[in-house]
Amino acid sequence: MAITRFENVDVNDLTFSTNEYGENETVITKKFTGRPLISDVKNSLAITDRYRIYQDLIQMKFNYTPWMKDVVDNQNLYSITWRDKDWRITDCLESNDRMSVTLMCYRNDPATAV
Amino acid sequence: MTDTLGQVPFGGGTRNPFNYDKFEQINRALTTGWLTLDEITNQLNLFGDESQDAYLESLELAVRMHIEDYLGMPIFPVSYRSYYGVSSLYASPVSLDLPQVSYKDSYNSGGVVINSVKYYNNADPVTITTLTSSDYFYDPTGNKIILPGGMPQAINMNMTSPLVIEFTVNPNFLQAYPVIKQAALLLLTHLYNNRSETTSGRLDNIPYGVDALLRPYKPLVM
Repeated sequence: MAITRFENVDVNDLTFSTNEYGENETVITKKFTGRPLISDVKNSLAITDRYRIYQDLIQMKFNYTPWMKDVVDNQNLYSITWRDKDWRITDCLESNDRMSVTLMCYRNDPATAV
Repeated sequence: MTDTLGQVPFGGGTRNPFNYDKFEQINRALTTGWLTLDEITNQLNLFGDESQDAYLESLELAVRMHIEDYLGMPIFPVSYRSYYGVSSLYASPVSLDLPQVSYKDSYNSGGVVINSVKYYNNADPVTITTLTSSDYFYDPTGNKIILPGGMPQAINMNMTSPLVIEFTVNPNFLQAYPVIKQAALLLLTHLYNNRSETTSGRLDNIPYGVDALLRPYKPLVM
């Protein structure tokens, strides 16, 4: 069942680079602490041959501010830290009256062995 | 029997029970913040989002001015200029009502500071003359300026309101009351959430809103 409450989250900047071995590296830097309305917390777990796949999707409704507008415009450059987990933004919904921004955030954790 | 309530002695029929002719606001803090940004961003659930701070500060100024006007209580000093006609000046000693009431509280804030008492003289051309501070005193019990020596001799009798007082009303200690700050935060949230004067749907006030919180502190003006 969906629950709704305001919770503190960190909105992070993401910077991407490639190290000397050719691996992609992502650096997460905190931009600010926000307090969105968090709802529709939905956790799902799929067990494949080798891994537990957590596919968690939540909604975060922020007040519309210049920084949040930038998140909407460049959603790939931001991540959210909520409950000490890193969440990536799959969808941004800007309300028509420009008063709020709803982010659909997704956590995929494929690295846990069965 | 004629109802003489509200008539100034020697003056014409007026609903103003005090003897000033008119008064005007001449100085007010238009840039000083009252609510802190921390208080505002907590209220709006913005927390560390600083990208709208300048807008929030401008909203806060409007909220603060509204609360000052609603309560008739300055949160920061407000200066006024009040004018008196010669009909106010026949009594001896001359007493001049101030239009804004303020009192010294036990935190030693509040009260009125008299900046100047001036009059237009009967010279040609007319010049404005400042009385020395020993010529008058402030009576806090009646919220008046008293001129013990009576009317200045050289006052211009042809002008409508030849005597002019400039004074500053100091902040009242009520402005630190948490209930008044909470009312301000409610009003700020309302203005933040409603950027337009019109809505498609009907808006309802919440119980115990801004009016309910401020009403006990609004002085009754009789």
